[in-house]
Amino acid sequence: MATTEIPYLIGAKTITSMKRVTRIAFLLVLVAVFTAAAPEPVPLLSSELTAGMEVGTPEVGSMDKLAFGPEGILFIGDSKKAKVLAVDTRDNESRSEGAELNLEDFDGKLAAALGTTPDQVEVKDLAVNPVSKNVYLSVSTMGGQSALLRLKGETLEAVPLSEVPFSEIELQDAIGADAEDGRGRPLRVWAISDLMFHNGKVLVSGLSNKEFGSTFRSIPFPFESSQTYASLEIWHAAHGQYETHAPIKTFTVTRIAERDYLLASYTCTPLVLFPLDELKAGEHRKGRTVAELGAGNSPLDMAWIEKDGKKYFLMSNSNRPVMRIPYEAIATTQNNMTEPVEEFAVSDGLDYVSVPMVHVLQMDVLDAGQLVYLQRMANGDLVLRTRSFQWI
Amino acid sequence: MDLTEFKTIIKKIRPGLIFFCGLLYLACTQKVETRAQLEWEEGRAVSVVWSGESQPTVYLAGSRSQEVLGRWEATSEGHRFIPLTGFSGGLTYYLVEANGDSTALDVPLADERLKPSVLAVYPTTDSLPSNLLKMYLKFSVPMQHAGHPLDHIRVRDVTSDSLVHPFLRLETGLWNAEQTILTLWLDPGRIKTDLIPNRELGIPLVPGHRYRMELDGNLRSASGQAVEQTVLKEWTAGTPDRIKPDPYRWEIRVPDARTLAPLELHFGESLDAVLLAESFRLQGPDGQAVNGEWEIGSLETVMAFTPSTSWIKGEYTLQIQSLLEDMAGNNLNRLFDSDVQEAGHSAAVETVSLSFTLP
Repeated sequence: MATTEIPYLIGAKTITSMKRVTRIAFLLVLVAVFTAAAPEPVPLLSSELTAGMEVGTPEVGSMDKLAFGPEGILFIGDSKKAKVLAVDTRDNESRSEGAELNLEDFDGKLAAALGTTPDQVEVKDLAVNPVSKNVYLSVSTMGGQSALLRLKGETLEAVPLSEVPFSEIELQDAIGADAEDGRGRPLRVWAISDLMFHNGKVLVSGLSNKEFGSTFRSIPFPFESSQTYASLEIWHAAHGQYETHAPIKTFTVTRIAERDYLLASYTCTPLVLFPLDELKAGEHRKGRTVAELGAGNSPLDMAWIEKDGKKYFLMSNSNRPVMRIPYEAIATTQNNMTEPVEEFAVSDGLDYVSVPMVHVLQMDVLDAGQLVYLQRMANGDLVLRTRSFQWI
Repeated sequence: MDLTEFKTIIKKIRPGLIFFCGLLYLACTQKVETRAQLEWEEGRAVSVVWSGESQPTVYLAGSRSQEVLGRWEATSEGHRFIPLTGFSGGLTYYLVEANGDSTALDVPLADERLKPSVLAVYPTTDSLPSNLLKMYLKFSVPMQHAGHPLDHIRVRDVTSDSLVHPFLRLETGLWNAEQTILTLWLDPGRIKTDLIPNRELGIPLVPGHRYRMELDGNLRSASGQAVEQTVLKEWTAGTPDRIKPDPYRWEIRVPDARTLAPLELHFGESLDAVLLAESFRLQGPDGQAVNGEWEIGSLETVMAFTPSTSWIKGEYTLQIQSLLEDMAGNNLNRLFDSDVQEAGHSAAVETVSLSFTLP
């Protein structure tokens, strides 16, 4: 149509009618603008930790659990595809403090970022990059998609997952054939309950939709495809004679008397200690129950904080306030509980303090003095806040 | 020509002339409209193609402080915007250009044909052991990922007329990869003798009581549509099952050679429906896997194998994964609820092999 052609004609006429010098200058400016706007080249992968990573676009089933390793490497627990991904976020600008936050109507904000309504989104996990202090979130929508987001000031941005350096490892059974249906599709999926990087290994707990047990894996990182890894059943005998295959809900690692211990909490909410160096592939190992924190509750997240020179353990719960236990109490306890607690919902073993923070859905340490957490308020509002350790 | 002739010609072509002038006028003054065209995949709006030259910012109606996250790519028709998690049916979005012009984009609701329904609840039998470990719900379409399915499932103890909560509530619902089969674990803490939940809350299912499972009308598919069924299943809790399945006690009905009749395995009890589908491998006289189809029948008490080609005479080996469980979670190696201080565990095996001859 004549109308759309006219502007171009004018432009062409303009350029051709310019004086030669002006035209060259104009073109040089154009070149300068385009090269300045060109994307930065991908930095060379130089760290040992990124050895074995290739640049590409990982295939993601669901992003359920997040955990940071060093140097901005993010581990993602993918329950749907039963694997763990390691992505180099390249978010490596070092900061000593994280930004204070008090974001209200956070589910409204998440919904707006994903173009949907608050009832269709769910935050699966929250993790802070210890280098940059940026807050990362994995979010799932009703339609079955997962998104990895990051807070930039008070707005949300997508974390790039295409053409990024990454590696991955599958969580299939190391022993025996992988189960497949008649058409050769693998049937086993996991509900990954917790994920952590510690001392060169990725630790994963979870529950398969098939068997009840075998829920803890310790996988050396960088991942190697042919590597076998310790896959074991940890159980607690808080009740005398009966063995259980209960899945770990959340765990952390703590150092006591120069030995690393796994501190785990189960669906029946005891708190169990287990020496990490005793984990051996294919073996059953018994942990030491140091506390029974009451039935009718499910532990959600664990964190370690330090204030006034003392270290504390924090645990958020589905049906209790955040609990705080001094590290000293855990390190020195001789508790080895084998007798059941008599009264319903009463706790026993290690003493804890109930911090006045309830309905904390997600929690992580932000920096040396603050916690960042997602909380459902009494009026239904979802807030993302930071809080100084002084008030915890 | 003279003036009179000219006037006559003009009179004749006047309507055409007016029409042509009008068309020219419209063409010269009307802006070319830019359009937003949705693109669909499996009933979901996954992207929009924008025929304008700019790349507008996309907002959900009512939210101007947070843009919809996604990426733009060039296409032959303009530019395509792919939001991170797709567009949601029933909502309106705005594409706002740099100059402030705003175009509304209405996304229609999902296709009616994708309405979800419950195809089956396993175990299908209506007499379940009181130490039942698992139930499976099989759906016709992929189901929702946000929220917890247990929020929409109710179990009623009809005998005592009370709502009960027998299922274990984990972080997420336990779905298969396609999000069409939901695994519900009954709380093992309550099944296993003498654990706190068992002593306090008792076993999840009381022997002799009748139970009914219902949906609350809000369990949704991935496309946001609710399951309409309310009552899913009724059953009676029987005595606890404390016997491991024993393949050596199964009845094997061997078909005749040179037929396509099915090989039948009769277990004498209902076994786990999902594990049944992956626990068997049949090897023929030539040592190769036999091609054919397995089918579960008779309330999960029978597995039938129909070969693709006629049976040949000879010796066959059936390999059974020891992870196969009965309804109480007892597998071929161990009981689910075992006392470690009693007679020690026998050595665990990975598969159990049964041989039979086709005459």
